[in-house]
Amino acid sequence: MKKEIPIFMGLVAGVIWYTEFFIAGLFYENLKLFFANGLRIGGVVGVMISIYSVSRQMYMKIKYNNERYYSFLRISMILLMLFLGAKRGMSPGTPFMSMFMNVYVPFQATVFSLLAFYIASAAYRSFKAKSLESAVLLVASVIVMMGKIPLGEAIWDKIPLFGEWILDAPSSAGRRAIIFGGYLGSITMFIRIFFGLERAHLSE
Amino acid sequence: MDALLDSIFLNNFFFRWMPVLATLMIMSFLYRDNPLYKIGENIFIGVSLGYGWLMSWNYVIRPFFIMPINDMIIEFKASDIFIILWFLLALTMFFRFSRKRGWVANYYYGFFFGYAAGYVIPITVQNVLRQSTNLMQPLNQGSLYESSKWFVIIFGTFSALMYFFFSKPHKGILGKTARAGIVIMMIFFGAAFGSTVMGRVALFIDRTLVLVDHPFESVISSLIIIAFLIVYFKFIKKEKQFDDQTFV
Repeated sequence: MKKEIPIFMGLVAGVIWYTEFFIAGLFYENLKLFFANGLRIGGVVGVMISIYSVSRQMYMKIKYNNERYYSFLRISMILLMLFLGAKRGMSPGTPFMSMFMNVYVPFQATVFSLLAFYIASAAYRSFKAKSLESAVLLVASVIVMMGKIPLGEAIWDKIPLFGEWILDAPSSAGRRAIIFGGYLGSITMFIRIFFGLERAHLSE
Repeated sequence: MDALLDSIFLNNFFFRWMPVLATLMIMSFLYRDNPLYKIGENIFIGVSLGYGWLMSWNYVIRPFFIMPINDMIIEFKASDIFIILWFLLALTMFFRFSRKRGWVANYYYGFFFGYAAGYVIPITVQNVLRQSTNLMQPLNQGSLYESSKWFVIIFGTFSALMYFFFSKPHKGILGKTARAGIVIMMIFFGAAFGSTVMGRVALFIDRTLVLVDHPFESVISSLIIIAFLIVYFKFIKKEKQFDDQTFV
C-alpha cells in the first residue's frame, strides 16, 4: 500500500489530464480545476519546505560550528531582504529593489563571468585535435568565437558569415537531433511513470 | 524608519560602492579561495533567497493559500473541503525529512508525477510533430547560401538521428551516415561551447566596464582587497607544511 496507492493516484491524475486533450466539456473542466488546485497547493507547500529546509541547514551549521559566521551573515541578509520587502514594498525605487539591482545583480553577473576563466583554462588543457571529431569541434568553436568579435572580421570579412552559417545549419541540425532524442526519452520516461514501472520518484 | 532605510539604501554612496565591491570580492577568488569571496558568496545567497522567498510569497503563497483561506473564513463552501484535503495531502511532503516515515511523502509525489506525465506526454508529442513539420521546407530558399543551410539541416538531422536511434551495427552506408552524424554533433558542441565562452566573456567585459565607470571606488576597493589578501595569506592562514615524517 505504500507504493500502490501513490502509483494509482498518479495514474488517475495523469489519465484525466491526458484525456482532457481529446474530450472537452464542463465536467472535464471542473475535474481539471480540481487537480490543478492540488498542484497549486503543492507549490505552496513546496515553498514552505524550501524555507524549512534552508533554515534547518543553517541552524545545523550554526549549532555545530560549521562556518558559523557565514551562516549568520546569510541569515541576516535573508532577514534584511524580508524586512525591506515587508516594510517598504517591492516596487522599483524601493530599498528592496535597490538591494536587488546593486547587490544581487552585480554578484550574479560576476559569479557567471568568473566561469569565463575556468572555461578558458579547461579548454586550453583539453582541446587537442587528436581525431577528426575533436578537430571539427575545435574549428567550429574557433570560427563561432571569431565570428562574434571585430578581430574575426578584421582578419577576413567572411568569417562572421561562416560563423552564422555554422550556427544556422549544422549546429541547428545537431541541436534538433538532440531535442528529438530528449523528447522521445521524456515520453518513454513519463509512460513508465504513468504505469508505475519507473519508481525512482517514490524513493525506490 | 522609512527615511532611515531610504538614506541607507537609496543614495549615491550605496549605488557606487556596492557593485564595485561585489565585483571585486567575487573576482578575488581568481587568486585563491578566501574569506572575502566567502562573505560575498554568502551575501549573494542570502539576498537571492530573501528575494526568492518574497517573490514566492507574492506570487504563490498569497494568491493560492492566504486568499482562499480568507475567503473560507468569510464564507465557507462545501468545495472548500477539497482545498483543505489537498493541503493535508501536500503536507505529507514534509515526511521526506523523516527516515522512518519518509514513504508517507510518496502520496503527494505519486500524484504530482502522474499529473506531470499526463501533462507532458501530449505536449511532447505535439513538439515532436512541430519540429518535424518545420524540418520539411523546400530546398530552394532563394540563394545558394540559404539553400545550403537547409540541405545541411535536413541531412544533418537525419544522420545524427541515425547515430542515435538505429540499433543495427554501424557498418556500410549506415556506419558512414552515423559518422557524419557524429561530425554534425561535434560541430554543434563546438558552436555551443563558442557561444557559451562569448557569453561569459561579454559578462566579464560588462563587469570591467562597471569598474572603469567608477575609477575611484575601484582603485580604493582593489587596494584594500589586495592588502587584505596579502595579510591573510601571509600571516593569518598558515598553509600546512607536509614533510616526509607527516606521512609516516
